[in-house]
Amino acid sequence: MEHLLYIGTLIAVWTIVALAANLVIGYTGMMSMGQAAYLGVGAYATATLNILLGVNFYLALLIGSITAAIVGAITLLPLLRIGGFYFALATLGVNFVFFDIFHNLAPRVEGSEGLYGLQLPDFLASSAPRFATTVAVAIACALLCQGVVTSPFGRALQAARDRPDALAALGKDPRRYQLLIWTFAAGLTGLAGGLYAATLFYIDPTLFTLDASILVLVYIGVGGLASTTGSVLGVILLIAFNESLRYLGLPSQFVGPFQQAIYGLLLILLMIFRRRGLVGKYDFTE
Amino acid sequence: MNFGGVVVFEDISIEAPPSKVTACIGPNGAGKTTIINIVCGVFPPRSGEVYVDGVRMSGVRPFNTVRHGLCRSFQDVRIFPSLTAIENVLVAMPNQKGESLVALFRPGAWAQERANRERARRLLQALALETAAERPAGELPFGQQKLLSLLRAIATGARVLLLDEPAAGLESDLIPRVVDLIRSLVKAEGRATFLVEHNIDLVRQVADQICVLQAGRIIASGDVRRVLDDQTVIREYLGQVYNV
Repeated sequence: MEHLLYIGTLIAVWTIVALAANLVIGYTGMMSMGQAAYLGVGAYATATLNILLGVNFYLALLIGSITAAIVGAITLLPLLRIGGFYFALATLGVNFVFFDIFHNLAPRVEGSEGLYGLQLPDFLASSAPRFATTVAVAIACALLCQGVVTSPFGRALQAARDRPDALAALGKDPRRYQLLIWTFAAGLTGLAGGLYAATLFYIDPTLFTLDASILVLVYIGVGGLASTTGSVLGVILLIAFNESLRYLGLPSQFVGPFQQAIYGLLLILLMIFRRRGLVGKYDFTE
Repeated sequence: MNFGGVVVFEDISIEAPPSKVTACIGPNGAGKTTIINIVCGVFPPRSGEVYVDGVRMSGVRPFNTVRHGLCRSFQDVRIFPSLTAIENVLVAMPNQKGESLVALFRPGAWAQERANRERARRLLQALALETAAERPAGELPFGQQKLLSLLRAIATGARVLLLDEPAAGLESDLIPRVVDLIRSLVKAEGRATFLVEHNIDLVRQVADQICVLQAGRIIASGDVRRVLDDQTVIREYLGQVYNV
């Protein structure tokens, strides 16, 4: 039961990350390949404030989210001049830079590679309330994202994705929408980072490598671009699928490679036969 | 204006007064669309100025031209394919409260959205597009996409409209709708309209004044009938496209 609650909490955390990534990639067409950077900023800011400075966890979580939003805005500004493949490549660079920052400059608990010893409020100390709280936050984020994408703001995001030059001709600056949604999504991802730290009790730079960013792409690619439901569905299905392989009784040395192979195969099949993902409303060939 | 060493045009002056349609005709490559691109800030001119209601437009970036009362349509439709037809019109409406992320959930944003939606529906009805309102714009036939792109420019509320070949590629049964639309914009709403067009029949029906561009210079301008009957214009341009 304890393990299931842990998995459920992880699903909720990654759902928030996927929701945020879908806002920028699916709805706005900005091919971000470095979302793990903002996850790491949120996680490190929350954990540093809480563990090393004794800041209340909820306040640390809020500051972590705001920090990630600010870092998101600052990192995007120089990238707004470029587009397409080059933009994607640059976001990859952002991920590498932040990995190195976490690795070389971020605070760590003496004798370890990362940070541990989060001082959680009593309410969050046990698994069940932590699971319930994280799920509640994820649901609130999903509703918020749905509100954003169905609003006039969300409409402008999709217009900026489809024809930025035509949107500009109508008097709306596409870059303004791109910057706002990127900042908002980085803030959400930072919030997820803080919750991630609370779920794992220990964070180190290896959690925020390119692997994590690719995983987010896979979640929204499978669930579906430009779909809040798709963001949630992709995370639930893939994490549940991964966990279910544990119960197949395969020798432990085969489980990892088998998981990766099946994952890869599923992705290939999906991209060939259903490019929009399970419930997606957009694909990049449009 | 020049592209590298190629001078597109120089020493030209065009005025588009309110409540009138000013048409610009000329062969392909004469620089008609380039004029629109310069006026809208897409290309900075090497020299010369653009004024709207006496306000100098030089240096105004394309997304700020609507704020100065000026909006363009494109030769190719450039609709937003994944949005529905009505959303394409809605996205063009100015000063929407819900377009700010902070103001998204403020009271009034959704009431304004309902009112805008009603206005967008009326605009669609004006061009008999109401049945397409909820269909993704990318799935509409080309003619309807073209009409939609015109409605989108109108929905901005701009006082000056620059229409780049609004009839190009349209089936003949749709052209009267474009004529009616342009007439209503000018006569009922008093907007200044600058029309780049190859369809001389349409120009004859809607334009009040005209200029003919040939290889970067204006070879004739003024009253429509007089210019279209001008022997130089017939010889240089109309003889190729129009049996006068």
